[in-house]
Amino acid sequence: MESEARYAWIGGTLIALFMALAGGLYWLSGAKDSQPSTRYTVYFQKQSLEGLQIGSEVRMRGIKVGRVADYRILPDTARGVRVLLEVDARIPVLEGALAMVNRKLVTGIAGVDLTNTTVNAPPLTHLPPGETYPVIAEGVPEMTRMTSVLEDLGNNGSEALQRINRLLSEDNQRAIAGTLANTRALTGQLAASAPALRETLEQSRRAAERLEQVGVAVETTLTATGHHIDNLAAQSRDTLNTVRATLDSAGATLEQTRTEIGALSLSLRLTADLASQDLQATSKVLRDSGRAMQQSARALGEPERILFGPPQGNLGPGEER
Amino acid sequence: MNTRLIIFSLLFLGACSLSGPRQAATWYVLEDQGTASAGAKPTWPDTLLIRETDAPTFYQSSAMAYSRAPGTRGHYQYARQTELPAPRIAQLIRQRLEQSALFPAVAPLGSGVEGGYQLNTRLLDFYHDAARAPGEVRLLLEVELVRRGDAHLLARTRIETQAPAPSHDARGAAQGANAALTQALDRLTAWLGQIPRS
Repeated sequence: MESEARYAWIGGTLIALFMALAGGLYWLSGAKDSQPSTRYTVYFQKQSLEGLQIGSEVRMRGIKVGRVADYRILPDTARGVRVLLEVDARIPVLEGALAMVNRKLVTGIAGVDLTNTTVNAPPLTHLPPGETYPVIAEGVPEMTRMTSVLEDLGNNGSEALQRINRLLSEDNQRAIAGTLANTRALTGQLAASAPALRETLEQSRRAAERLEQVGVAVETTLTATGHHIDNLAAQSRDTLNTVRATLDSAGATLEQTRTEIGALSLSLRLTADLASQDLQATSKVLRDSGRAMQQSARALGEPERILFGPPQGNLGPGEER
Repeated sequence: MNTRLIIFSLLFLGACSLSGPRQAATWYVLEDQGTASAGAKPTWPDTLLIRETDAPTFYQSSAMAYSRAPGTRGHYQYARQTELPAPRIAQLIRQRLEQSALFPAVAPLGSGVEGGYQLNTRLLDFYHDAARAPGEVRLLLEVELVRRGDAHLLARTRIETQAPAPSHDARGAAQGANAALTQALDRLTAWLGQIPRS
């Protein structure tokens, strides 16, 4: 009699435990699935869907709002994978909403995050041609954006180095050195020959004056002595004209040389100014790139921020986790 | 055995909560809300080149800055600006000075244009002073005008502006930032118009 009572107590306890287990399983698996839901389609083309499965969570602003109902890998690679989402009908999914795959770093389990990008947009109900459910566009996850920023940073740094290399290339250095050497040689020759040239011009001027005086005297004499000496006077005048023409030519040559030196000087000044601007801009890009890389390194040195988000104390006014 | 089970359960629960709910980030655009009236004739005789604004490392981030106590700064975690403040400020300065027509032409430094003058700007401070609600946005900018021909510093000034934030959050800070920057550009334009040309 006593052993039968113990069996009854054990049996009753087992039945109660099974009922509790069944109730728990029912509660965990889908008691809330009976709530009305809306279905949406997403075509994922750019993001990896590793870890995504039927039943994976669909979240909006961090709150679970639905689940992945189905997926299909399309034969058309341009359209990628079609994923069917089942979202609680009370959740406002608006026109312009984006869907991104969010993966837990440690477990690798993936879910889908929904984000409404436009404030006060109408609810997403439009059915594109050939679609059974409204289509949510694919977004870009934070991690991809950060990778893109780092790539841009690397490209900018590389471009800056290339610009410096081009600026300081051997050809440019040789060209600038050659130009400077030519200018120096030209200026030196001009400076060296300037006294001699000035002396020549002075002597020519004095000779011309004497010849003019001689010419006047000869003309007077010729007038006095007769026509036979007229030829001599004419020859003297021709000689005088020749000397004048020579002097004019020398003056023109000097003027042309001065103009060419002026143009060369202007060209050099412009080249130096633009090179200086390029150097200023390039050095600033290099400094900024270095600082940005330091910041990125600091951010990567704090993995807990990536895993758990910012600490409560770091949140700004009006912000909450 | 029990200890191992407890440790395993804690690790499992910790892993499940790694990517908890987070607030979505909002991106704000820094804008000049003012305009400049163009004079009949440029005040300065030559082109102005604008060098990109220098900024401390703290402000080389798109996250908006705030301060809850004097001598401290922090970054909003979920509020960002669409462009880094320093290059954006240089861009808005160029647009405002082009409107004002103080110079025959205005171009960025390094754009292949020769200019007679150069404007250097340094962003010293730009944050939401949130010690009291709703707070105000403070902007401190150092500006200098250089004559490039003989590398002569013509004038230098500090422009400090403050504008109230309509609300004690990032949205209010963004609106206050636009107002403070607009004031600073007004004062910069007036300053350039009254520098004596020697």
